[in-house]
Amino acid sequence: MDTLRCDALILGSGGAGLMAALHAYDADPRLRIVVASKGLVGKSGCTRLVQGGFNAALDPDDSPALHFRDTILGGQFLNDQELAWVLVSEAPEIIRRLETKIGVFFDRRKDGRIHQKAFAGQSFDRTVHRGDLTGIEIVSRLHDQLFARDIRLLDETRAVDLIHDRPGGRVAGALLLRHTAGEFVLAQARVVVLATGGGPRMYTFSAPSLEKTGDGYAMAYRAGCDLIDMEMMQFHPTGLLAGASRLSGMVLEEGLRGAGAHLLNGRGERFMARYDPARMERATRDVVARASYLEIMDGRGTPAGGVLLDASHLGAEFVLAHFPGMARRCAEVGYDLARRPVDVIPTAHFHMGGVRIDPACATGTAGLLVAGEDAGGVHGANRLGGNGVAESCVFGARAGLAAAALCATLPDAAPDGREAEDARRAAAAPLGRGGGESAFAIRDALLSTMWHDVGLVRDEAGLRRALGQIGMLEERLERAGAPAGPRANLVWQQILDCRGLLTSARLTATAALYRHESRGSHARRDFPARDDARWLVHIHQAAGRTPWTEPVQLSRLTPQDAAAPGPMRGPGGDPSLQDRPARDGTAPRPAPA
Amino acid sequence: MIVRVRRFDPAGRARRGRWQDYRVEPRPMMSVLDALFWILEHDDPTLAFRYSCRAGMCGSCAMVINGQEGLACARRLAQLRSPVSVEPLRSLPVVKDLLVDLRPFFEKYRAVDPFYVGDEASLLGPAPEPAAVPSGDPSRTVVDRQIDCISCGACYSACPVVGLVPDFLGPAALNRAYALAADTRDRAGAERRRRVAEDGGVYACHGVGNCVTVCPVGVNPLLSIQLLRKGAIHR
Amino acid sequence: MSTRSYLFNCCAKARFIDKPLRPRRAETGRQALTWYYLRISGALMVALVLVHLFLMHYAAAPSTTTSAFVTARWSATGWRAFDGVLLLLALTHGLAGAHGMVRDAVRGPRARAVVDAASIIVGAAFAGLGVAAALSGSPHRLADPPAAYGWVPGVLIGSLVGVATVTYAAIAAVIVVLGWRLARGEPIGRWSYPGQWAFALNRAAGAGILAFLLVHVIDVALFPFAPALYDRTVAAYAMPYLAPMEVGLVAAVLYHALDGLRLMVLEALDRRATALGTPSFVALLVLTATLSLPALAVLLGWRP
Repeated sequence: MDTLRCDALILGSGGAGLMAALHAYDADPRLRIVVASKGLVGKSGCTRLVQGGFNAALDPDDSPALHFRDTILGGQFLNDQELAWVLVSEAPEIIRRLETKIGVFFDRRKDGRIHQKAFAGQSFDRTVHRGDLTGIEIVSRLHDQLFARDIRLLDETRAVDLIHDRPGGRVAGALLLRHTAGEFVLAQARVVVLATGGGPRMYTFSAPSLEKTGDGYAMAYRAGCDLIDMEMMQFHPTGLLAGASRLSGMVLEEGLRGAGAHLLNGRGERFMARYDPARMERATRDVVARASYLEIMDGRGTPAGGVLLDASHLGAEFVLAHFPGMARRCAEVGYDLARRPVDVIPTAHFHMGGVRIDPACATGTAGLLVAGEDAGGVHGANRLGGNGVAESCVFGARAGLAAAALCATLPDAAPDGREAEDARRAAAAPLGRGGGESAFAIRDALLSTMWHDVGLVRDEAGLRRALGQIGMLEERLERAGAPAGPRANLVWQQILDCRGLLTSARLTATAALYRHESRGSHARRDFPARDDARWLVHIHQAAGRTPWTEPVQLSRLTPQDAAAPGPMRGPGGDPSLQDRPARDGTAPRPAPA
Repeated sequence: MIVRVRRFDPAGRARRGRWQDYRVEPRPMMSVLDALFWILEHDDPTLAFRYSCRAGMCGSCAMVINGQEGLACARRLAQLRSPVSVEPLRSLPVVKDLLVDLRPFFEKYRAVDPFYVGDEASLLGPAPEPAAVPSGDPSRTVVDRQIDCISCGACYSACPVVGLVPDFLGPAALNRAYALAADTRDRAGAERRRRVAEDGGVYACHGVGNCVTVCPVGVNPLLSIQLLRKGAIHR
Repeated sequence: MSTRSYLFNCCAKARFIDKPLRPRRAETGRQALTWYYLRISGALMVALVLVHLFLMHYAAAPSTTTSAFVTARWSATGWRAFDGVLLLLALTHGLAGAHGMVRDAVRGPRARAVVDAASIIVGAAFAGLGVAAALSGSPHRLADPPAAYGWVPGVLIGSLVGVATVTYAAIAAVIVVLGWRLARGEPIGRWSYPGQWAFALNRAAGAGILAFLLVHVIDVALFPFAPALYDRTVAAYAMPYLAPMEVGLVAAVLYHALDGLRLMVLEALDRRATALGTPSFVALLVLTATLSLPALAVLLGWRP
């Protein structure tokens, strides 16, 4: 097997991975840094897909404290407050760094300062953006900066497993698979930064790039890490419905609703009036997505099976000027975003849960740092639009600096050859295995199960059914085969993808079953109310242990502090579930006016 | 509907590629990429192609469809004449079937030093305030479109000069050079302009214009090259 | 399976630069020089070429440009200067273009040196020959009978026929290959782009004009020294086999000159020209065809 030695191995090349690489290099240019990406470096991943923008408290009338409050309220107090504080306090500096040192050009106002637009769930217009294609600009400029530094890149190289130096020891590297060439590489590194971007693609409608299959969560779990909040799955309310095309699930950005677009059901009604009359379509994503889902489930959806997003009343020139990328994508499938309603459906978009980290991106395992969507806790039970790319960039930078610091202190350690060989054998097993299961059928069955039973609204029976189905699918996957020949073998890659998807799915469903309340993105039909008394806790999962909880540390803001007037919701639970009785039989608490 | 794919395996016995026809059931709104997945999942598990975002934003799936470069995820089957021919990008070595080796493309991209150069080299240390550039400023009129490049390689493939002149940097690289030269915040403009005036730079372009025709995001590399030649950077 | 150790050096797409901005490369400015020269010489030449074309192909058929015609014309110093300047511009323009085309494609210092040397030698030789002819002005009294020239007329007329044959064969080959591909539903490379055709036709026209020019310099150079031989060659222009090439030559000159102007205008207009590329090319084709018709008529016997 080919081998590779370096100091910092960064898995993933989205916002987090690239920021980590650049910062690690600038902290210590003598470090040997390798960035390995499952797709093409700087072109795959979901940071590129960011349309909306990046939240940062730049304005003198704004403050990190306000941003923090919005983030905690949006996250329904499930956030790790120290991580959230890092996010909001460092976001402004990261924006300045992106602009003045990395070369990103954000849209401006007439007076020449950076323009910040309105986004749902925020008390201040603080979303920095570039047109409606912020992500492409950020990732492209980060990618360009790689060329100014001696950083080595591995394209189309997926990480198969994290490898320890000995059983139960520290992470000493990773087993990589260069899938276009079909070759395994055992990489030895002092520090591994996991920044693969998680990504919920195990639903029928999902937004992320096609290569996002929960590999990061699965590897971290297999490596013994602690994953939290895996039940918190954000569904973006407006994913495009595009017939039989894989384009379905692609997000139409929140800025449309921020600018005033309406959501209509199949009867032409603005149904948000029944779910959140105060904020209507500008409520947070969890509320709007669930509302749309319930409309569809109750039979008031459109013939295509979704709801309608209508931006036509904003004026065609306005829509085309502010959302050109989206208008073009809609036009490709025959929709006219500027003049007619577009069919949309809630789409699995972001996974708030992930590996437990501390503010320096460290996990419990030495030698492993995690940044970006792979990490959990920053966003709590629901992520605000614009906080995702902020998290990637802020924590990616932190991880890079932490990696450089660790490289100075951690000794070299060789990865355990036997563990690597076992991982390699397990990964290569499907090759040439004939007459087996189809990985595509397994994947499709998983997508359907997750959508119906672990989707926007869950209940115990459905979750148990899902876990059973996941178990069956994992078993079927053991019999899945790919044609012989490791080079550019897309079926083999699909089988490996399914491993990640099934593990993520299992972690999600398990945590969802465990949490007996509804909070943020996690809604239980059988436990419709939010229950701070018992469930203001993180749900932890680790290999070899049953799930356990740890209380959320309300170090900076408590629900009592936050019950101040304003457009935010208080601790009353999601109004959409108010007509279902609370678990203990008491009458539901009324939603605030 | 017939999809005709150019198959080639450099490790196999055949020295040249061959066409292979597949019968695809066209369903609503299917793109060429969807068709390739359909073939992979139902017909031929040995087909190799590249993909990522499926939404026209990453540029991974650039290929030649019915003779014209484009993103497979953005070209709808319904708008194409059957048989739909699908071949890999031109001027780049074929790894397998529709997968090409993009290294030569990125080597040339790198050769123009495509990264922003600010006042300070290191990301560490406090960042200054962002430059005040009023929205609608004339210095950004052209460059604001030209920074949309997703480095998909379509222009590189479509350019005949790339095919004829090995040293030619190509439309994408030169467009990037322009975008930086025209950026009022960048500090290395003079050196960039000198670099692209060397052989293989803007004077190797013959104004063919295929690059403009095929760019999936509306960038105009020919214009960038012309403006670089004229030194008319801020118009 | 091989066991390689990447250490730190063999990663795919490994990139390394040792300082932010690259040092200057050895070869600088050749393409820039060519680019400017083609445009400057082209612009200077346009008027001269169009006048020459008119006189040789519209006002009279090519086969009527006998030594008597030339003597009459070259009795005026102005025409000799005109022809001399036109020759130098056309020759250097054509060689700059051809040299650039070939030089761009070859790699390796030896091949490059050969191309450079060949261009200079050919340029100097033909320029010398042509200028000498123009300076001499009138035929010397060497009125030897044509039979005394032996194989020389055959070679000259043969080379004209050769250029024509190559041209016809090339056009036929293009039509056959493209037609074959289209009939089988196979794609035709970049030939579905109008820009590709504009570019290729410009280069083909340029190459064809240059090839003809070299033969033409030799035959005109005969005029002062062997006017009878010159007349033999000129009479060959009346051969029906060469007629398509002659019209083709007119079309090529028109196309190449007008396309050059088109490119320069588009470059000057830059932003405003973005949508004009294909329409201007189509207009150019129409104009070329239209203006070539009178030349065809003249060849067939019509006189204005």
